[in-house]
Amino acid sequence: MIKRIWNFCGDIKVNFWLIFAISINLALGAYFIKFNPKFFSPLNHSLVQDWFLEYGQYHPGQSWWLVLLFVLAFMLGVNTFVCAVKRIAQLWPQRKQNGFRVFSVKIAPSFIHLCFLFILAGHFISLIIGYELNIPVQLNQKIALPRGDSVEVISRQVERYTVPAAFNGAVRQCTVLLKFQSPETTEIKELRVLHPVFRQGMSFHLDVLTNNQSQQAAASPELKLIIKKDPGVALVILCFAALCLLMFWYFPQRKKT
Amino acid sequence: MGVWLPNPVFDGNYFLPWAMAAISLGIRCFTKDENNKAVIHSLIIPVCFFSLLALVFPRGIMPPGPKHATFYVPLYYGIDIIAQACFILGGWFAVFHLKEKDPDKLFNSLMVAGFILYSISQVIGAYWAYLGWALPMHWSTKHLQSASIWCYYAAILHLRYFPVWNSRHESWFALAGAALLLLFIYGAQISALSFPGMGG
Repeated sequence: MIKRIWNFCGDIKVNFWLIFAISINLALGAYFIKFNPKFFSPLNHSLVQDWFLEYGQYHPGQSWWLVLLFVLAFMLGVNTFVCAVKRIAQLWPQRKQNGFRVFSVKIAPSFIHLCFLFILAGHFISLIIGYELNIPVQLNQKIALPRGDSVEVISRQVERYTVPAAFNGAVRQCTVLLKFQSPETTEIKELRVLHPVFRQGMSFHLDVLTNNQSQQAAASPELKLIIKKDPGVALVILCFAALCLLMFWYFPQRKKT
Repeated sequence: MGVWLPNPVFDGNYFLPWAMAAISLGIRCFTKDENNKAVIHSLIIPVCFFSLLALVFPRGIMPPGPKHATFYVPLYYGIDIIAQACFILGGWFAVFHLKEKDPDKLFNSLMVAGFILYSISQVIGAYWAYLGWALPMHWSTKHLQSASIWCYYAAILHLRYFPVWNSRHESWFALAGAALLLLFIYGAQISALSFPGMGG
């Protein structure tokens, strides 16, 4: 019985239909978001369980695809793990017979699948664990951070285009100076859009509203300070980069062998 | 305007036919099989079609805002659009494979190349989104459609391990993938027609 379950979990056909189902589910989800963006927008700045308790559970007609996505992703995770383990167990005893090059090519898909598993895990961690504060930038406002630290915006600067004439007045870059205070030290750091500050496991991002109106008008743009602790993001980006490198190497090698 | 900006070069409407033309030229130069030449020459049709289609969409340059004044923008869009061109041309070759005129299975090579490039663009996009918005992936239409396309082609790449499925089945999936991609790209483009300026 256990062997049957194990074989079912590691079946390549199950794998194909799961990925295919996730693809369709994501396409449907994209249209749910397109036609009801305000309902899903808070999901970007809150943990998925908090969003579900506050919004999702009251509108099952809108949020069912998200629940299904988690179920399918979990099943795909189990399937990918079993497939990778089965393949490694099958290939490992043959490593000396095949030679290093052939063995590397044969084992590469399993490593690609393991990278994919880490990406799934990273996304899951980001969605259920973490910390985010989203605050409009106000001068001299003190924001409390965990462990008794605090941060204060001590200056803000908006750089605008002067040339070419057609761009005149549009926002080019925004900068704020942050004063970090802990019981022992005080530190001042410059924060710019796309240049976050990393400190004590947290990242500080500057966000700016750059819709057509704010780009054209000379009015001061709306700035937001995002304080974030995302333990999954590094795993997602590093493993996705490793997955790309492995695929970039593997597919031409597969053709040769 | 007296200024050169890289971002508008990689606007999807204009860069897509350019990327398709470059890929077609590359295939034409590196294919030795004379029987496949007629199929390769037919690539001029999608290149012309998408070039003409680009003329329908509005042109203009928006000043790159703080989140767009970075080399991640041309890098992400450039690679993403080359991948899309691979998928669309893969769909084109799939039609010929179904007619038994693509014995080299060029549609499969294009899908594999497209999938690798698409994955690279997703990593760059995720890093850029994290730096600018503090999120590697948004719960937004565009990001979910990208993830859907990525999963779809990942599923197709697993088809070869099905003993009962052959390259004809794969061709149908490649064709449907190209159709899905076009629906996503031009669905978004048609929605964007209401905006006053594009290209930045």
